Amino acid sequence: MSYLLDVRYVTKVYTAGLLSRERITAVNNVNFKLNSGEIISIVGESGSGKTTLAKIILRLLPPTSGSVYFEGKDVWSIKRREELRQYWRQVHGIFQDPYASFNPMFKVRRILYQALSLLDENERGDPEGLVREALKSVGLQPDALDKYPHELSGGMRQRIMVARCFMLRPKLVIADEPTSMIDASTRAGILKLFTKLREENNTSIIFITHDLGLAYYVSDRILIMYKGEIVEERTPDELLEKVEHPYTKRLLSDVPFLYRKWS
Amino acid sequence: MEGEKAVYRGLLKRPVVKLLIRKVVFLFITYFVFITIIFALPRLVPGNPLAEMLANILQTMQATPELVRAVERRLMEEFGLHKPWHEQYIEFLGRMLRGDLGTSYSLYPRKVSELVFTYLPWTLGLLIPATLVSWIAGNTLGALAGYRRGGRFDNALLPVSLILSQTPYYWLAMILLYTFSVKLRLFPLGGAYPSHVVPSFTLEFIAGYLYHYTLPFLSIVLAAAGGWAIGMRVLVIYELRSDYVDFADSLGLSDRKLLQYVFKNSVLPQVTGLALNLGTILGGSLITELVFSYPGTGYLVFRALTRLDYPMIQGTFAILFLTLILANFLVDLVYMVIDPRIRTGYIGE
Amino acid sequence: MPSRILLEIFKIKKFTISLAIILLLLFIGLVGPSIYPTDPFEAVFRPEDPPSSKNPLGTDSYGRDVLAQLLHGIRMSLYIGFTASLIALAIGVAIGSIAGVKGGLTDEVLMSVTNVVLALPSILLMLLIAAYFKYRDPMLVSIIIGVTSWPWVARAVRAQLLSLRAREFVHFSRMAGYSDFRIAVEDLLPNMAAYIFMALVLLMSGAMMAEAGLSMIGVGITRGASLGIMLYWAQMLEAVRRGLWWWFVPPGSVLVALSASLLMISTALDEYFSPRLKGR
Repeated sequence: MSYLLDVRYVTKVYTAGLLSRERITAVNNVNFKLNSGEIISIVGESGSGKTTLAKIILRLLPPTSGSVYFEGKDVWSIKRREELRQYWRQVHGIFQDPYASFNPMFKVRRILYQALSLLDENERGDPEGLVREALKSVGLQPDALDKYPHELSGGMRQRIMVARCFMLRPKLVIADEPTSMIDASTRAGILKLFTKLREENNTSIIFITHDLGLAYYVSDRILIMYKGEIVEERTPDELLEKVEHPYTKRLLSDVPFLYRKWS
Repeated sequence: MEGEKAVYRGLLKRPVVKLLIRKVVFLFITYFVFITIIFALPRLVPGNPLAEMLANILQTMQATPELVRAVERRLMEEFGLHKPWHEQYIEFLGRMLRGDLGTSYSLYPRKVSELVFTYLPWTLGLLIPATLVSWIAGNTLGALAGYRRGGRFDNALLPVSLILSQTPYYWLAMILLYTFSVKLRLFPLGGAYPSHVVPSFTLEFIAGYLYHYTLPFLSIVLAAAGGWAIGMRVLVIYELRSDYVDFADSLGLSDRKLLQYVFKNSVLPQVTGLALNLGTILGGSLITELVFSYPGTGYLVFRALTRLDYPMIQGTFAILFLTLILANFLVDLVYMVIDPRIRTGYIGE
Repeated sequence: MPSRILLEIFKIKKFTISLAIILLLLFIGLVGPSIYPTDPFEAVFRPEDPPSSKNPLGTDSYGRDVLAQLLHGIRMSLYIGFTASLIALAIGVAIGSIAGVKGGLTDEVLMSVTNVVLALPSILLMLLIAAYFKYRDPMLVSIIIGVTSWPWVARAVRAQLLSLRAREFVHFSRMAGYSDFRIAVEDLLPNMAAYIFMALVLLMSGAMMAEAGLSMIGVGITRGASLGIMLYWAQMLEAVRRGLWWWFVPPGSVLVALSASLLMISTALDEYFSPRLKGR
């Protein structure tokens, strides 16, 4: 029970083709642990399997082998609806594409009311109040609720997804490239929301990103993922002093400003 | 020996070769399925059309009793109706493989294969050039319109292409025939060559052939080009939105060069489109032949279908489908040659 | 939620004009034969008469009224087009969604079958099947067209479903504890609806064209009038060479108008929905 999340030997293999079976190993034997209130980043290029890993932890995609333990319980052994709701109450996700995160047929209100349905009866007291409060904490006006997704900017949509997390106050948030598809000018604001989430609720966060520079500034620990495997695990400070894997070195050379000393 | 084997094995591993083999296997399977459908249909349809056909012959054939009996025996043999179905099937496949398509009874005693090969060249002579010309013309015009989206040329071309793309070939053929042959008397009323000349390599015949060729050719080209132009226009518009175009634009690349790039990328789906549409084009042009009384396969199909000449139906369709498959394969080959991703083995599918 | 979308769609000029043409022709096909009660099959007029006040679209070589045939023909072509496209749609959607939802071996088998059928030229297949039926009523012709036109629908539905299922909003509904059924009803179906409607529209135009093609080559419906049957008789009786334009121009024009309008409707919907379906 010492770890919040314990990922053990997780592997995901995709197969395709009726006659000539092609096998693609997206995630290969991944192990890592996460403490309560910790922010870690999983850094890798597209196709490195990091999104697949995120979906496995979020219990959206079954692993081929291996297990994910949350507070000592095997996540993939959960079968009952009620327990599943409890899990998603505590472990929630945000994805890369703020456009695809909304069903275009519904108003914004739906995505926040969905989160309400995960809360217990007694927590739900004043639903509209809860929703408005969550919007306020991500810096949005309540009138956003009655808009359709296409009427909002990418940054605003992603803020709404964060608002969902503010309503749930989960123990772990997995944010898969939450800022890669929005304007550079609004990125910092959204990243700040995540740190606020941790400060207020001691929420652990897993950032999944291709941007080592971003990982350096926000995380306590950085995991480098390459071709489905975790090839290196460092604290941001260690990253500047000693790295072993050639891929990490290559990543570092792409963010030269990391070497500049900050005074 | 060992080295040779290794080379051979290495060749088999190359993605292009793998893809090619997969294509051939797939086409072979589809042909097999089609032949099976040809075999099964008359035996599945309620009321056994084959038996009915035999009865029909006995009633309607204006011939001596000996001839009728000869036809009947021949057909019984060819269809093997007295044998169990699996034997019939194996025999049928065997005959198809040998190229023996049976005997027509509406043009008794001519062999179906012989008939098909007399008429097929006329069809192909019309169809292949018309398909190629319409494809090239349609794509070029569509690309130009898409490149200058909303311009005067685009605004003129779009509605015309749209209507042409939804115009059945044969109806356009009727309109052209009426306008240019009946009203304006500029072109002949039908046929593939003047009735007083014999097909030969003489100037007189070739001139007469081309004279008769113009309207059928035009009606297929016009009707088909509309669809290609619309498709290409959309592809080019999408392509122009992609990042590399902005990039090239910012580098100050000339319009001409840029159009070349865009055209190259947009034309790939159109090649696939050609492969997918060959059947429709064939169907349309067969009926167009009827309008112009062109002595092609369309006439044969029409005759076979309206007189319920089942051996001829089976044979003509088997050959037509084989032709389509070969054409399809050729288009696929062209695609492989021009698609840089396949050429360099970047993708396997 | 749907009313807003409908409102926006009706603001697209291309869409409304095309829809108006379709509705007008549908109205003509439904009501026309009652308002203009001349029997289309009774040969009671002077043959090959050009349009006149008595026969607004003239008569054919048998002395039958062309306008009456046209009105009945529109009705028949729309009927066959609609029935055939519903049949093709039902098969295509069923196969496509089973393949897309079940995945695995089921998916691979169904898609292999679909690809083979797709490779068979549907026109040849239709002619071949029709040839073996001595009597062909409109329903039979619809079935023949329907069972040969579904494969691209199956592929499109499957692709759309797979892409929708991987869309993030489905994950969010799942993470909200929604059941598969609720996800299907709220997240998948509404986003498929526009797509399925587009498929129906395209199938319908294809089916009406197919009906005309079958008729032209002699294997259309064996009784009654359709646009294709009118063209068939015009062709058989040399209407073109004898200058009887009123016989073959109207049915062809109506066919082109119907088909072009249907295409425009589907293009307009595609332009409206696809950026939204992709989320942009």
